[in-house]
Amino acid sequence: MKCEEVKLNLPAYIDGKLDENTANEISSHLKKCAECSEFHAGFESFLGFADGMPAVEPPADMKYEFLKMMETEMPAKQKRILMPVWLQVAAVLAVAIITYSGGYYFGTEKSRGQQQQLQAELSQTKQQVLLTSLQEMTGPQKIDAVYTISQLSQTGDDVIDALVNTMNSDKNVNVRLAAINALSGMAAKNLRIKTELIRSLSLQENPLLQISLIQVLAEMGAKEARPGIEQIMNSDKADENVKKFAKDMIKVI
Amino acid sequence: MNHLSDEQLMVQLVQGSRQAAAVLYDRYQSRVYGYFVRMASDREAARDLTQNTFLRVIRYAATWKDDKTFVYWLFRIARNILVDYYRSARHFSELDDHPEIAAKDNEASLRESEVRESYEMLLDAMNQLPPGYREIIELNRFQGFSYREIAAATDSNENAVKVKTFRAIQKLKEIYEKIMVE
Repeated sequence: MKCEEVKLNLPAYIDGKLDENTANEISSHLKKCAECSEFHAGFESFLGFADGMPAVEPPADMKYEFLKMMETEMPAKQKRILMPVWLQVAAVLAVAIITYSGGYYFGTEKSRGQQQQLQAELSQTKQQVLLTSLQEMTGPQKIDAVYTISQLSQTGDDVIDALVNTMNSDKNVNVRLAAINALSGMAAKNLRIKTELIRSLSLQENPLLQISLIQVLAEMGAKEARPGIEQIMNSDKADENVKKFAKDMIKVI
Repeated sequence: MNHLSDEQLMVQLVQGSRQAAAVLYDRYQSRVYGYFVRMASDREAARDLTQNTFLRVIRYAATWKDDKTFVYWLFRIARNILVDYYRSARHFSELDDHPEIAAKDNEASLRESEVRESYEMLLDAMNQLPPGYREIIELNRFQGFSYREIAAATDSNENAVKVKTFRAIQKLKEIYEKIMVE
């Protein structure tokens, strides 16, 4: 191997990246050629020094800055758990039954024994679905579940009872709002729903939920809702914006 | 997510995972920042160029293909950003502005300060290299890319990269030795 070729291969030779034959050829050459041997020594020493250059540390706040930039590039979206439709229905029913059971226990005069019987009737499958869904469902996921049930044709009393209870008692305002919207979409299929929405007017204290109910009932042309809406208009406790909205919407009914 | 490979993280990123983007940032921020610090000779610019590189990773995520290797793709993006930076004519003359090597300790021993000074001179020498040579040294010595990988990243061939690497190191050594005696 010629000296020029040996030198060109030195970086890879020093890094141990050459194939065995080529490396052996270079080693042999270096043993015989004093000039190349001296050149190799200086080159290797310098490479060792250069390779040891300390890493340049980025400023500590760069990552924070990047995360803020990322919020613009990648707006947050809710991670959806994709469940097959049958599981979605089962999950919603399981959640609905538990919330109904909770409402049943706290909200009525019936005995604790009946509530326990209701719970006992839950099958092992439903309980497993319930555990899975409760563990995994956040407020937004419950909202998803509520909307899913409203897309289905089921408007049986148990489903409506559960959605009504969700509307009136869920801790999350957005979940209650979703339940209001879901029920309003199903109102044409079941006359009970209108009654429950009107009843909910007297139960809700959150201004957003009151406005939502008033709007839904006005759109339905529910004349039976007038007394409930007037009550809000005249209430000392109601939010001024809600009162103003109620005053505007009652003209529509 | 830390257990996922870069390529698996890219699949997650394509689906909109911010966490995947953050993990990739953590893994490569230092390398990309160091690349720009040494190549652009401007620490402030290196910061912006680094952030832009990762933002482009997010923006171009839709073009990601499973047969790619993330680190090469990343440095290809970084290189393109660097080329745009160089094209801005005023940046060609910023050879005197070299970043200081971070001191581990303000009360460093004499030996440590000598070492630090040596590396500052090395950076000086890097800055005096033509950009093509500087890039080869950056990719081969500091980023650990093989000749084949550098050839792919720079649209060259392996043999040409081998020759250029040797000549770049030799030139860097000459410049460094000249700085040392000045």
